[in-house]
Amino acid sequence: MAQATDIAGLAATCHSCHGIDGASVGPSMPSIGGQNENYLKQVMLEQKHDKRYSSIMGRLLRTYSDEEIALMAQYFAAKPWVPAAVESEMRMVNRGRQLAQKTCQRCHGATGERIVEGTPRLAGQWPGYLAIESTKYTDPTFNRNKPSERMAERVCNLAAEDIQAVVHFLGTRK
Amino acid sequence: MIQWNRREFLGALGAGALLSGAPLIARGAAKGRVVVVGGGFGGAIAARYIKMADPGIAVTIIERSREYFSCPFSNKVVAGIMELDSLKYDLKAHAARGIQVVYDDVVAIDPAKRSVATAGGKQLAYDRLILAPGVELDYAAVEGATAGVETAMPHAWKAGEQTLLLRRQIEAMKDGGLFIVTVPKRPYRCPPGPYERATLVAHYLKQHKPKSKVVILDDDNTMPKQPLFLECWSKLYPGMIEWVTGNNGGKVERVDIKKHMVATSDADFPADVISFVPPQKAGAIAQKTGLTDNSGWCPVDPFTLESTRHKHIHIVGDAAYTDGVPKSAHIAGAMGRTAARAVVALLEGKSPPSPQYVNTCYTLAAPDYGFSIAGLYVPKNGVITTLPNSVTVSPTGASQYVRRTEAEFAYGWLRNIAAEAFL
Repeated sequence: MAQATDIAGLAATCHSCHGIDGASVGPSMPSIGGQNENYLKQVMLEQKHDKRYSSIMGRLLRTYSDEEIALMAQYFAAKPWVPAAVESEMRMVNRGRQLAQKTCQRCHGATGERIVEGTPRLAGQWPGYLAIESTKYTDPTFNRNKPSERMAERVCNLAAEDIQAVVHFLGTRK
Repeated sequence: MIQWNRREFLGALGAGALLSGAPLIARGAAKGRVVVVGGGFGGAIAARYIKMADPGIAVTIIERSREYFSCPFSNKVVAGIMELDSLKYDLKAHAARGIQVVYDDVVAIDPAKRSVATAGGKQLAYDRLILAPGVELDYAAVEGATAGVETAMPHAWKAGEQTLLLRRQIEAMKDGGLFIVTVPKRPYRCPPGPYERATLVAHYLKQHKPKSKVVILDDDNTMPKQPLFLECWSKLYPGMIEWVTGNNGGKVERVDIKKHMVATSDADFPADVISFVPPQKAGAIAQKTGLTDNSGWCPVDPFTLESTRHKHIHIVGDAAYTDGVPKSAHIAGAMGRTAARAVVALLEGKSPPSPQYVNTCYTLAAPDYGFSIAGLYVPKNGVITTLPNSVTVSPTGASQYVRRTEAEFAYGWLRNIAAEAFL
């Protein structure tokens, strides 16, 4: 494995899926550049140790040490956050804002901007990715463990259209 | 911008620069001249990362075509799920970054003089050459694969007009017709590609020509992501796809254009539409330059991707010889980054950093049904080889959530790697 000093080389292996410096342009792929360091580290460790479902991440991370994961989290957290390029639709935004006030605000802030301890930045994250994460709590076919109990409590009652509105609202924030 | 480079560059302009480009440095010009031949995923990513790491290096990329069509996802175009235009990319962003883009055909490389000659009459000198020529389709190795075979039995293994031709032939096929796709001897570009093609064509046929059948004639006896392919065939397209392995008479020995059939040792296979994917080797210019060995591919130093045949030439992408590493766009990109870092370090007289090559490859079996393989490859015993136990595939028996989201991740992957290479 690469040494700690070559963290940029290690991190570059993430670019093809997450964008250069972690600024994703793909709607289903989360931006990781500028994301909360604690959150990035925690999620990668959970994925590596099979506590959080992921398609490829957990499988790849098995070959990385926990120290390397911590360094990659630090590396990408220090990169600029580039908000998703999504055009906002007024009606979706308004509906999403209302739902987010009730459902998300307490932990994530009014626009998903709040970063404390383990919470991720949601403002400007790709809506497609936010929907993929959110539907872990609502899709009845998702039979793996839910990543967060608090999320499960709040998201489980949202209809598919509600989730679309909320992630559109959050994704179009800067 | 890559930190390792910016940081290491300070004070680094010394012995290395003198070694590699003395006359140029003396003129106070670029810190080195790099020529990249081939503007696919590997070449485009290599050129970009060199420029990102050190804008002072003069980078020229030579590419034959003004438009590039991504091979990843081109099976979706064949199956009518996507349009070819959505896979169209070019090197305009490279030009805007200060990379010189030359649209021309490379006709000769002189490793001794370190120069490249183009069909348009240009001579380009280099300190380091990155060669990303892709694959040559080796029709000469197949009996009966004479002129016209590409039209009669489209390979569609280089995306573009061939992709559309195959699609039109499938669209024109009668209900109840037979589609054949052949799998060449390994290694070849995109190992799961032929099976994905069979699967997505079945997707199209199920909707539009449900009495039709798909046959895969395979040189080998196993396939990548095998349990996942077998599972999706029985779940989504029961009875539609037949896989004839090499041991069961699947090895194609001959094609017959007039009779519109392929022949194996066991039987003749006439079909309504045939996608004949021929065996492959490193792109013609690599062979011509003496960069290939008996395998037909280019042996390289696994740390720098520098050719073991000719110094100062780095091979990137499908043309490089590797020990079981899949010839995928993702690996080509990883090689592009590795060659870029090695070239920048070598131009600075430094030792290149140790690389690792990550592979990620998604397959779609339907627009909302995806699965994947991922793995890590490292230098060992002089070649790039699989890190033990690192190659994993999606689980079989997975939920609809898993299949649906893997399909979404596949699209997201394409968007990001294409942006890394071309945007």
